[in-house]
Amino acid sequence: MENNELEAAILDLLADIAADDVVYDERDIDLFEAGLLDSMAAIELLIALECTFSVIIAPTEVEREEMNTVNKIIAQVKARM
Amino acid sequence: MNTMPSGSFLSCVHYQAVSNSDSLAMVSDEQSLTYGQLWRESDSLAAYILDHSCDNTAPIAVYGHKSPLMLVCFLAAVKSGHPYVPIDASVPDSRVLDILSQTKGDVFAVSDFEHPSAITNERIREALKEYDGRSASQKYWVSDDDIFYILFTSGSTGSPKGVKVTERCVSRFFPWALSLGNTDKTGQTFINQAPFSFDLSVYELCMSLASGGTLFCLTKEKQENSRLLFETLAQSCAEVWVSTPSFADMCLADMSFCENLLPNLEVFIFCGETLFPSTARKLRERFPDAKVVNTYGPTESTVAVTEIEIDAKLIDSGEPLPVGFTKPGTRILIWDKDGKELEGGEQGEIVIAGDTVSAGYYNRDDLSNKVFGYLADGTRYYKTGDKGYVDDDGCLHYIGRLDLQIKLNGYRIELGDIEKNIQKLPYVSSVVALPAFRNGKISHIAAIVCLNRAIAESDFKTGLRIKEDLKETLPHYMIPRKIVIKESLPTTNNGKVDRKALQEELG
Repeated sequence: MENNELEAAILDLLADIAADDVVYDERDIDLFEAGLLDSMAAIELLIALECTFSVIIAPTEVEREEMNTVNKIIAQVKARM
Repeated sequence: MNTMPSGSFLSCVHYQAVSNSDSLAMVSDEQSLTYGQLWRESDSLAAYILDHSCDNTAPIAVYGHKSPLMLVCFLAAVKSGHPYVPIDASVPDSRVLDILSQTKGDVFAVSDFEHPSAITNERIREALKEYDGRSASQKYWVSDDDIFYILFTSGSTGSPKGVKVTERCVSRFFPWALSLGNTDKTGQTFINQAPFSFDLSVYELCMSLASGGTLFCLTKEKQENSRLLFETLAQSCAEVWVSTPSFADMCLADMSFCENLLPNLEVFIFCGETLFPSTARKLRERFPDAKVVNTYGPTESTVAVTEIEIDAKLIDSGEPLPVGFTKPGTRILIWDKDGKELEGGEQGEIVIAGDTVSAGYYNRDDLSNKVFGYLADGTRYYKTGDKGYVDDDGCLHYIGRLDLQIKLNGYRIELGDIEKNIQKLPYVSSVVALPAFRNGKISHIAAIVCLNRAIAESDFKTGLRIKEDLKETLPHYMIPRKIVIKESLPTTNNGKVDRKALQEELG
C-alpha cells in the first residue's frame, strides 16, 4: 500500500470511529481531550487496525500518550507495517 | 472451610470480623483494610455519627474513589441507623451538589470536596482516633425496611434520582448472588470494576464482605492504562469477576487476557447491559475452566434478579443471549401498556415483583408512584420500562427499552437528562440526543444542536465548546462524542421533533 493510500485508509477508519470528519483536518489535536475517543473507542480502533491492516497493537503495549492524535496513530501503524 | 451464618448482611460481616479479623476485606491500589480494621473503625465512626448527627435517619453521602475509608464510612452509616449514598469522585461537582441538595445530610468527603456539611478526610481520621474502642449499639443498625443505601441514577428530568434500597433487599440479594455459577465463593477474591456509585459494584461488595472475601478494586487510573490494568489483574489472583460486558470486551482486545493472567478465575458475572454471544464465546475460549453467568436487573430491584449460565449451546444458537431465571423471592411478569398481564411468551413490559424491589425514589413520590406499586397479594413491584418476554421454560429474554433510556458501556443514561443539560447552555435553542450505533451496538451518543447565536468559527470548535461546558454538569460517559450543528430540527405532522428521522439520518 502506498503511503498516501495508507494514510487515507487510516483517516477513514478514524472518522468512522470518532464519528467526526474533523480528523481529516485536525491531525494534532488530542482526540481524548476533544471527546472524540474514549477508552472503549480506542480499543475499537486497535481492533479495526488489526482487521484492516493486519497490524497488531496490543492495548497493553502502548500508552495513551503515544496514540492520542491522528498523526501519532498514523505513525504507530507505519512503524509496524 | 468457613461456615457462614444465615441472616442479615451486617451480621455476616460481623461474623467475618470476629472469625477472620486478619483477612483482607479490601485492596485498592496500595491501600488495604482487614476485616478487623473495617469493623473496629466503622464502630468508632458510627459512635461519632451518633454523637454528632442531629437527624438520626438522614442519608450520609460518602464522596471518594474506591478507597478503603469509603467502605468504613458505608458501614459506619448503616451501623448508626443512616443510609449511605456513594458518590464517585468522577461525578461533576454540580451533579454532586444536586445530589447533596436532595439528601440534605452530612457528606463524608474521603476525597476533597468543598461543601458546608463536608466532613473532611482529616476530620474522619481524627474521629477514628478519638472514638477508638467505642461503638454504636446494635439497636441502631439499619434493619428490615430501613434504607441501607441510596444510589443516584440518571433521571429524565435532568436531575439525578435516588433509588432507596432497604436492608431487607440487601439481605435477600447477597445469598443468591453468592450462589451464581454454583461456585463456593467463601474467602475468595472479587474483582471490582464499577465505581461505588454504580449499583453493579453492590454485587462484589456484598458478596465479598458477607463471605469473608477480598474486594479487589480496579481504580480509574488503572482502568485507563491497559498495561497497569493487566499488571494489577495479574496480582489479584481473583476467583470471581464482576463487570459490565463492555469492560470484558475491552480486556479481550488484548490477547494476554486469558487464564494465564487470572489462573484462579472460576466465574464471570455480568450485568448492566446486553451480553453478546461473541463476548461469551471469547471468554470461554480464553478461560476454559471459568463459568460465564449473565444476569439482569435494574437498580430499582437491587442489582439483579435473574441469572443464567452461558454454555456453548446458548452461544451457538445464533439467538441473542437470554437473561435467565428469577432468584428465589422474585417473580417476573409481562404487562401490556394498560397493565394487563400477558402470557404465553408474548412481548411486553418486564415487571419485577418480589422481596428485593426498592422502597422507591428518595423524596420523589411523584416519580415512585408511576413505576412502583403492590400486586393484589401485597407483593411490591417495579415496572422496569424494559421490553421482554418469558419463554416456555420460564426463561426471561430482554429486548430493549420502551423509553429514551439507553445503556452505553454499562452506564444507564436517560437521553432526556443529556438534552435538559444541553438545553441549559445559554447559546442553545434546541437539542436532541440520540444513540449512535456501530456493528449493532451503541457506540456513543450524538447530539443534534440548534444555536441561537454563533459561539465559535467552525462547527467543530462549537462542538468542542459544548463538550467542555457539559463537563461542568454531566459525568464523562454522558457527554456526546458527536455534536451536529443544525439550523433547525425536523418535525413530525403533529409538530413534535422527529426523532426517528434524525436517527435515520445519523445511521
